[in-house]
Amino acid sequence: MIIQRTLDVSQLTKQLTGDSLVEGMSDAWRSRVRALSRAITFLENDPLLAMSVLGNAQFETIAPPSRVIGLTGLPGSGKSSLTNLMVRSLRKAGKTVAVLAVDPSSPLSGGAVLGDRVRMQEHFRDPGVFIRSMGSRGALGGVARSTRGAVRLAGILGFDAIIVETVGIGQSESEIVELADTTVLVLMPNSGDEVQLMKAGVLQLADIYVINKSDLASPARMMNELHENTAPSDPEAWCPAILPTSATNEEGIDKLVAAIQSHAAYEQTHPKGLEVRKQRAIKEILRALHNVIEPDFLQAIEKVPAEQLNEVVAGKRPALAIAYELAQKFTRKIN
Amino acid sequence: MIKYLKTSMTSEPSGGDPGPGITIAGVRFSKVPRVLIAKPGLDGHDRGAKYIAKALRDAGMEVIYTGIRQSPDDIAITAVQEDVDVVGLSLLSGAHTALFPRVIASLKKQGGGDIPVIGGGIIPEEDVPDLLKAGVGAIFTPGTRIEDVIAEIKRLLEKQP
Repeated sequence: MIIQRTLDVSQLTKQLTGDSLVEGMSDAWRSRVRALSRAITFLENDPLLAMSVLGNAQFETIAPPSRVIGLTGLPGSGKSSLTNLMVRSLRKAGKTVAVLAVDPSSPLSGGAVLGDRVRMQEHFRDPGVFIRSMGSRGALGGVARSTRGAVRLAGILGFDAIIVETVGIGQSESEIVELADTTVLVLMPNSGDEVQLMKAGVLQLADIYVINKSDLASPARMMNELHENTAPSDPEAWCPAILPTSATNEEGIDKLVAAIQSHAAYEQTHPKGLEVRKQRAIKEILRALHNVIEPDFLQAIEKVPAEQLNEVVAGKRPALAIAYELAQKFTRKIN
Repeated sequence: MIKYLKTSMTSEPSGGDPGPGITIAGVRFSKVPRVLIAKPGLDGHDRGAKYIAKALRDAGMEVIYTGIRQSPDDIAITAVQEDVDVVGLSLLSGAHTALFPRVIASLKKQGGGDIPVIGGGIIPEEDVPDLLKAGVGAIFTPGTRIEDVIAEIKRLLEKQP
């Protein structure tokens, strides 16, 4: 179901920085939070218009960059419960936190039930915590198309940490690694034998591995096997931390937060860390380019003559040939 | 699969394409509706709230569910942070005449005074006029068909600017 809304973008950017207040509001922080939530809605529904909000250069100077922590893992592994406890730990240390929690959208209706919040009720009234649920809206990488934009928007308000909780994932949904400064993969004891851990994908990419529900079964074997499969051959590279936790018993959380901090320190001081950040920036540009250009390509495909399309359907013409032709038209335009 | 939503602008910027830093006053955009389903007060009976949540999901809405036993402030803050288009309150404890107006008051305080509030549950007919007067947009009493609930929410959503 689709409805229409109107938004004053130039007014909104002023409200985000606190230069003006949302109508009827006197509390500066509450007003900025209201503006942030409206801005995220705007991005969610048309990522192409993100530039009209995020392109404002003024934003760069008002807040130091937030630390972006990605939390991913199997459905039901305890991501939301761990997020809740991490927020508690960060708040105790005086840090402000934004949480962006992504849940799957229905491929049938486009609707969704977004329920990650249920685990975070203790933080609802804390002004230092912002929680936003997002539907994945057809994106298959574990986050929504607009999640990165939402991270940037939350950054304008200067949150110390931004936690992105992905959809419950399987093995290959690794977009979070491109988006987060530190990626935490949440596993469970007995969530697979060594062959599962030897497989490629997100299992190779996390900076910190957490074996949650360690109160239910011993995590020892899993930790050993993970260590064997994730320890880098390069002694200068970051060696992923492997930590047992129990969200139910609230165990291991402070160690997890400490590991996130030491990964941050590694990335910010080690030359290898700088290289990793550069690679991430390149991927961010590539991903943004893809988002910007896709609607134009979709329009171009709609103009492909019906007989050519029928030939593709009949297997007489390769789809790649049409794609190549269209791409050439576009590159000519760019050059 | 969700298609790209095309945005139309009521005041077209000069170049046609919204570039960086360009000021756009009134942007008209299409959106997926977001609904908050919340249970205020000391009432743990959430079967109805979950049933409504699923029905609205299947009608193509994004439904945020808070869980049970929420204070009016919890609900208002959630509604604002989630930027929902409507708040649906489910209450079976009988405290609706006290709690529904408090949610509306708290919403105003949090900057969400523009978000309509509707309610349902075990609500006697004689309480309905007072609740409507207090600013509740619609009340659904026991026996209401789910199709009628969805139709009413759609009507409310499309009425807003």
